[in-house]
Amino acid sequence: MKSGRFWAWLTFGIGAAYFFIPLIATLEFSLRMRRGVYSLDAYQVVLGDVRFQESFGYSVLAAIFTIILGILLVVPAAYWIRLRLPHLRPIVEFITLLPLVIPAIVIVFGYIRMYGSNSPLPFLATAGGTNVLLVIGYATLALPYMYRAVDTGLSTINVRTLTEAAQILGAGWTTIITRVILPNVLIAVLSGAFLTFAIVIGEFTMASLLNRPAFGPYLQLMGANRAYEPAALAIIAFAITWGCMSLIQLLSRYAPKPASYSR
Amino acid sequence: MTDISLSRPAVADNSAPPAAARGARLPTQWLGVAPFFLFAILFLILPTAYLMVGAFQNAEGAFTLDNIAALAQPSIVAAYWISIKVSFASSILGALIGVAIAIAIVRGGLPSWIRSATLTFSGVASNFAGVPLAFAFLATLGRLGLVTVLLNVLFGFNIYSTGFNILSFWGLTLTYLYFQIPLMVVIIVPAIDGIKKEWGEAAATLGATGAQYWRMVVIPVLWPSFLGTVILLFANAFGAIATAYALTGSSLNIVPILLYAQIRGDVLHNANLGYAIAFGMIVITGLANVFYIWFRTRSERWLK
Amino acid sequence: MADPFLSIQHVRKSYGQNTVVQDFSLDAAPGEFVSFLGPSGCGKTTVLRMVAGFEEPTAGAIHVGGKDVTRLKPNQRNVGMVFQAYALFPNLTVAQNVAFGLKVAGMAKADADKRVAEMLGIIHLPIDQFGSRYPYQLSGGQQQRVALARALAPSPKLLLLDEPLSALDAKVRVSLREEIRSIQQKLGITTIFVTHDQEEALSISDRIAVMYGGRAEQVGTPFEIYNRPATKFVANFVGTLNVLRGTVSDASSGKVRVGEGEVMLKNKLNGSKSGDSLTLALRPEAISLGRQPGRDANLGGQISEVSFLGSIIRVKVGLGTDAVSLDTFNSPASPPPAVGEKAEISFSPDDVLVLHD
Repeated sequence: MKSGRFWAWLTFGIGAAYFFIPLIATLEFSLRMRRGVYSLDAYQVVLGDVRFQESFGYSVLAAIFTIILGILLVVPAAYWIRLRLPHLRPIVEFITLLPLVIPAIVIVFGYIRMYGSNSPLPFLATAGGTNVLLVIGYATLALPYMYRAVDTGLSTINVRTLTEAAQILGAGWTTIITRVILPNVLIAVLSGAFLTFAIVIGEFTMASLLNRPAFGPYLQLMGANRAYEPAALAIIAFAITWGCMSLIQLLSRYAPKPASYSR
Repeated sequence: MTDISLSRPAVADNSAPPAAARGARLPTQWLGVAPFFLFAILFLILPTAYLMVGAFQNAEGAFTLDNIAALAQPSIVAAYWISIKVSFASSILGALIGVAIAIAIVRGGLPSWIRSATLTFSGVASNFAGVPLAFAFLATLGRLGLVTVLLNVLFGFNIYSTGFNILSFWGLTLTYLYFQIPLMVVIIVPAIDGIKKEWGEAAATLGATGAQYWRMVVIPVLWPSFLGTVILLFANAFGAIATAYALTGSSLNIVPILLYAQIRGDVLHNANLGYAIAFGMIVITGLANVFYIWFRTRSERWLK
Repeated sequence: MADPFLSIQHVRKSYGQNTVVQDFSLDAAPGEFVSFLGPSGCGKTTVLRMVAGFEEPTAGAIHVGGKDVTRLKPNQRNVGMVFQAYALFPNLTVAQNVAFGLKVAGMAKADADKRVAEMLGIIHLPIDQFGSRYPYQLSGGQQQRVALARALAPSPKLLLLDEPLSALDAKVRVSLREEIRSIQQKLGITTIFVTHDQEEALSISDRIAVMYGGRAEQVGTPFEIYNRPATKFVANFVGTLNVLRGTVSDASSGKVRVGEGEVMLKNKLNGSKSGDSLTLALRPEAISLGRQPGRDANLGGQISEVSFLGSIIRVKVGLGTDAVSLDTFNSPASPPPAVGEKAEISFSPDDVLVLHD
């Protein structure tokens, strides 16, 4: 179907143009800081900016804590749901769908109202408490992706059979989870972790409304006041996201494949 | 003592004897899932419920429908209307362009590396929302943007003279497409994969032309997935704020920005009205997601 | 053949350097049921797809009903095809699936409905019960029958089946293949049936084309294929074969030494000289345990395995370095032979196949 191939190339070409031109334009813009000649000045300014380093560092730290929290919440839950509590699965899947239904701004609005200084859990009373609340908020946003990644990883390795085999050989629960299950879902967990990282780094709404010095609000501030630095920041942000996604793709190649039983 | 009765989970549940009889230890599985559920209740369900309840309360805490009624005031209605328009435009356009690209890479006879590269890129681009995206489009189609300048220099055509402005409804829609199209591609490609080659061959042996096959089989099979994803894209755009905030600031008053301003500084002078606005958002995105799930279940059932 | 309905003439199919079908020819009479039988990769599906029009032959021609269809597109050939994976359209009901070819051809609704009801009756899935069901609500066997009805509804000139039973359970396979055969005979439609299962091919075909390496090794009736295999491949692929090695001890009298014993194979030596090695093959049913009238060749050996299968007892007899497998009926009065017992086997020299590589 020759004509079909022509349209396919045309569609792909137009699509590629739409997606690459803004990237090229942003890159070009970011190199324009020094009058008349292309230079990396914008990048130098950005990377040397104390506020960049602080806010980026803050977000990276927040991302790490979010990932840890996410793993601690999701991995045991996904494991036990698969193994012993399959009838709870619809409830859990509904819960993991909620962060996609309820916009982030509504979630953080709820936090502000519920966890203020005069609530039983006064997260917002202190800066430290607010930081914790922000991490919690991030974990909530990343929950659907983390759960799906871990659940897919568990489905690949046939949890029930592995657990029974380990138990027959005399293993206790800790051994089973740490030496049998976790190594096999590590790839899936890491995929979820990188996705969480990408989400946290770019997040704006929660950090802004909770007044935390994260990377998102810093980006917004830069955009309001500067001309060339935002473009450099956009390129940096895109590169980080691209890096995370590529790592996920790379990892998925090393994920355990399901053993085939037929033939 | 390890409970090894895994093959009968129902028995494992029902026959859990009182804690005292088994030695004051809860069945491990409940301990394992407890943190997850506790977290979900404390940080997802309760805050949302708090807002929902608050939407129906006045400042003293009594039940009232006034807040919902107050949503009818012109500025708020305008905000909802603009949000709906932007979400609608970006979801329809994003869906159509996305499905065209998806068909091109799956069935277009293109080299196989294009498909995996596009899918990887789509995964990245669908997450490249927010502030950096706004910067990117400003750098492209802003007054000093590369494309604006190039069009002016090469063709003498100044797009801003035609009334175009990146800081507008269409500018925002165009920017939203950057994450809407990839989302559509990522979701619809598996559905297109599900169109089996044998169906086309069977249709050919039964005398159908390519167009007839598409009209009678492919489009009806893809339709629920397509429509469901359009709705998902709609909900996705409706709840987005960061991109709009960074691009148009508060000049384009979409609902999330209105809510943002309200949370920040109570611009509406009625705290409970903020709850009502949030309530309205959840109703819209909630309905959209219900439809999405309904459509997806239907199409999955067919393609079993 | 007098006036073949389907004529495949010297077709060849190459993908670049790789030739999948070497030089395949076959004529099928009107109403004939021909099976293409062979292992995976032998080219049988490729030939079928060339007849359907999904692949274009690199060389050769295909004629259907006297017309050259080699360059026609699949939707112009009026052939019916049934696929291994059923390929029912998931968005259409059973009735709508069966009506598809009729709708495409522009048949009036009333006529199409009648035809659909008729076809569903032929496959024993009455329209009032099954007509409005969707494919996902049917079992594999039911789906395949609907696929058959769909293919036959537009009254095609030719019926092509591409391993239609491979995805089904064993029991369903047996009953469905008989149903396919009886429908085919009732309608009198020329049919090509591709399979790798020799029992399927043997039980329902008028003729079988055994294929290997892109070529037809032998084309014949099931009886011919089984009892007079033309090549070693055919003999091995179809049915079980016992293989013995022998040396010609006296070519003039036809004596062949097999292990410790000797047999007389008068007409089978085909010019082999004394001292040549031969490969002899025998079907299990050609061998008897002990001496039997009419089976004059005898060899002595020792029983190495006995499997009691109920009405059949499968016995393996070692003859020096070779062994043969034969079946004997269970006799309630006497116990089965014991492993280690000395035994004699007998067969008729006429039943021996001398294999050439």
